[in-house]
Amino acid sequence: MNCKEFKKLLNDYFDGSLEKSKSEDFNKHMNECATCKAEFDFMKEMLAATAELNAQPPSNLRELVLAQISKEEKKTNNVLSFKRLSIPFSTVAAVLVLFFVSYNLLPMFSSKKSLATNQAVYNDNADRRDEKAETATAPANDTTGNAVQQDAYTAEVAKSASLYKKRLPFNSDVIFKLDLSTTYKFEAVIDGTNISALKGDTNFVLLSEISNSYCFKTKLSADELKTELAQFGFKILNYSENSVDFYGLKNSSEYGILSIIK
Amino acid sequence: MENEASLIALSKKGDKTAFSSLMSLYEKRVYNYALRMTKNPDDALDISQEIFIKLYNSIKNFREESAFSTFVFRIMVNSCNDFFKKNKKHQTIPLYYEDENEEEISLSISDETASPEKQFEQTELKELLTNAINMLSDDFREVFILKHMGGQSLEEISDILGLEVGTVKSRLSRAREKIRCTLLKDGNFSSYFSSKHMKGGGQK
Repeated sequence: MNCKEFKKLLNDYFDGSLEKSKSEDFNKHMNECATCKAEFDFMKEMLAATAELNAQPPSNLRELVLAQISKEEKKTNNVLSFKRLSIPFSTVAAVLVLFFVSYNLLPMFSSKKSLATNQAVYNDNADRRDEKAETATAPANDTTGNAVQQDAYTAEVAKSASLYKKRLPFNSDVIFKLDLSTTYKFEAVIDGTNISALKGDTNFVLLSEISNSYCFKTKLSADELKTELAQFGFKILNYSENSVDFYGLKNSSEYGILSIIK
Repeated sequence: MENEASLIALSKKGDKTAFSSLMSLYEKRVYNYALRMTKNPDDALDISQEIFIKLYNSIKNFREESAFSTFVFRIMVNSCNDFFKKNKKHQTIPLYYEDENEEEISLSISDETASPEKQFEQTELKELLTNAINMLSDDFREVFILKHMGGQSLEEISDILGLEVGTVKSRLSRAREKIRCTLLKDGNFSSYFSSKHMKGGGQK
């Protein structure tokens, strides 16, 4: 065997395709020819070092993939369900929020300038709103009214949630973070300044923001909440532990909805 | 591989735990292929994710006619090629160009090794080797990585890339030779391998 023939077999060897019948000649030549032996050794070490270049993949690779897959599956499901409903997500979400809060807020929003864009939703409740408009001017004294509203509200939310849960497979911040077994505090009335202050406060986590509706979550107790919100210029109209709390803003020029979930 | 077969069957039904285990069998090869092809860890992570998501979405189409690894690596190779098409800036500028007769024309290598810092870095064997691999054109680099980092057989590489075994063999031997020559051109490299190995020199 000459060096040229050896060179060919050398490639077979590193390809993993050296025929057994030729390996004897291959080894024999290597023992006789120092140049070929050196080339073989060099290549062997070079390829061993190449195999060692393999790096550990990032430890979160699989996690990232699974998260992405879940996200895509959720998206696909939502697209399907909304196709069936033929309603854009934002509309559904906005309507649902308003639907939930309407029972509590209507008395306070008797003002003509309130929630003009959401008029349609409120039209359904127009009678109720007119009826309660008067009590809204002095809600601080209306604790009995609150209790009644709370009952009506709780019943309505429970009904709506079960209704919409059946129809909407997605998990929405707006709807399903409302745990019916715990307290949430619904309320009203904001302007831009106060909401930005509240957004910057670490005690409040903004869950959703749709049009003029804001939904915050807080761990504060009712008393702490009272103090905290007062600092931001929210006038506390009424509150009680484990029940709906109302807050109003002094001199507000623009109405909206602020809901605080405890 | 009984275990792999059952993981595939479960993954086809959308079992994410099984799919995660399946990924663990391939993530090292997939990531390292992507890393060597893109030469960039961030891109490699992105592409690896993309590859596994594609795999999850298409695993239902896997028929047991070929090896599952071939199925995975085809997705891997195609995803990297797509990435290169999309990101032309990442396209390798090979230091060797092949003309139609596969005659090799060496371009002058810009002397990035001149600075002392660079020289110091490049005394690391791994870095030298990485640079040498990076200098290969994509066609050569892909077969070299599949074979010598991924451990695939000639036949499997031919399946994955849709090339004749002969073409794979020829690209492999040329890739190895180019890397050897690049390393030998670098004087520092001699310190890593014992001197007896250097007798053959850089010449064919």
